[in-house]
Amino acid sequence: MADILDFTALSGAFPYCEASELHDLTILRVPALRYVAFCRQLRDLGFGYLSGLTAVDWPKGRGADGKPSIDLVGHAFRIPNHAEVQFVVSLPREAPAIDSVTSVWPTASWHEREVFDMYGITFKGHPDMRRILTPEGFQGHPLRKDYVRSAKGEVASID
Amino acid sequence: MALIDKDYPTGVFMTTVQQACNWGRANSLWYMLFGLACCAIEMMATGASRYDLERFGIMFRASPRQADLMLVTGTVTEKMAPRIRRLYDQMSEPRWVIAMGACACNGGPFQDSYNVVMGVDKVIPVDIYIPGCPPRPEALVDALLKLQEQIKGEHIQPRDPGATRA
Repeated sequence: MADILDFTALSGAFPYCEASELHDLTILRVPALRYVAFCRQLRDLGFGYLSGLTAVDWPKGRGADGKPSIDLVGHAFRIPNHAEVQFVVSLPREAPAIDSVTSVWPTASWHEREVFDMYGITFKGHPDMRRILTPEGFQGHPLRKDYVRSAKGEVASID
Repeated sequence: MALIDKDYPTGVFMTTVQQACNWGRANSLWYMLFGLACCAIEMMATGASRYDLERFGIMFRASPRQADLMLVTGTVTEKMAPRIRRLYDQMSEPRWVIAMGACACNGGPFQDSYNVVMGVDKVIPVDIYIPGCPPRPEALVDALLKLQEQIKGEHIQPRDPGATRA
């Protein structure tokens, strides 16, 4: 399936996505409503390895429109041909929520927990939506640009 | 000829219980594998063949129940801190702690972080601190030898009958 690797083939396979290219990397901006269907189709095309899921916080918006948003960014690999795709979903900054893709890639379970922990994006349908890196009872989402580290002297007590 | 044949040809030597106990404890320090981050790699390297900790009688154990020494190697996060306390409490006395690396000593480069405890001594008492990021294996060996000297100077009977060791 050599034809599926290049930019034109990928952008043709997903006509509802805004496709762009950065060196060899194809970047697809996915509308939030088509996110799970997009991921399923991507996996069925052979991109069976979700290498990472993270987010970027744009409190002042990106580009000219200036609307605050959070971008959910993921990378999927097609291992036999070493092909990579980056997909981006733009979400509103107030109470961002999107469907979970653990049904598509089971590894997304922990990646989504980390995104929730660090950015506050909730994933609907996630089997275990709780924090993963910060301790139990931690308030706030540290990687947001407006996170302020509260003065904490004491360590959490023994469970 | 072995030392014991040369210095004690009759095969008998006298010592104190304290010296004998301390010698035994210092020369078989079994440490609990507690690698948290990058310093753990240096700890593994020190235990491997080039620097070799076993020639000092220092062996790694995976369980705190079987260990005398806790080598805290790496960054202590707030999520990990209660677990460290629990494992330290599970070690039986006499027990010692070495904080290896800048993160375990005082939080290291993560001074302004949201999830890092500024030094493991905020959670458990520490005997020896090793600065470095990471400290070289020779530095870890030096710290372990210092700990051995410290143990050899200990009083096995507490001065205050009511006090227990840390």
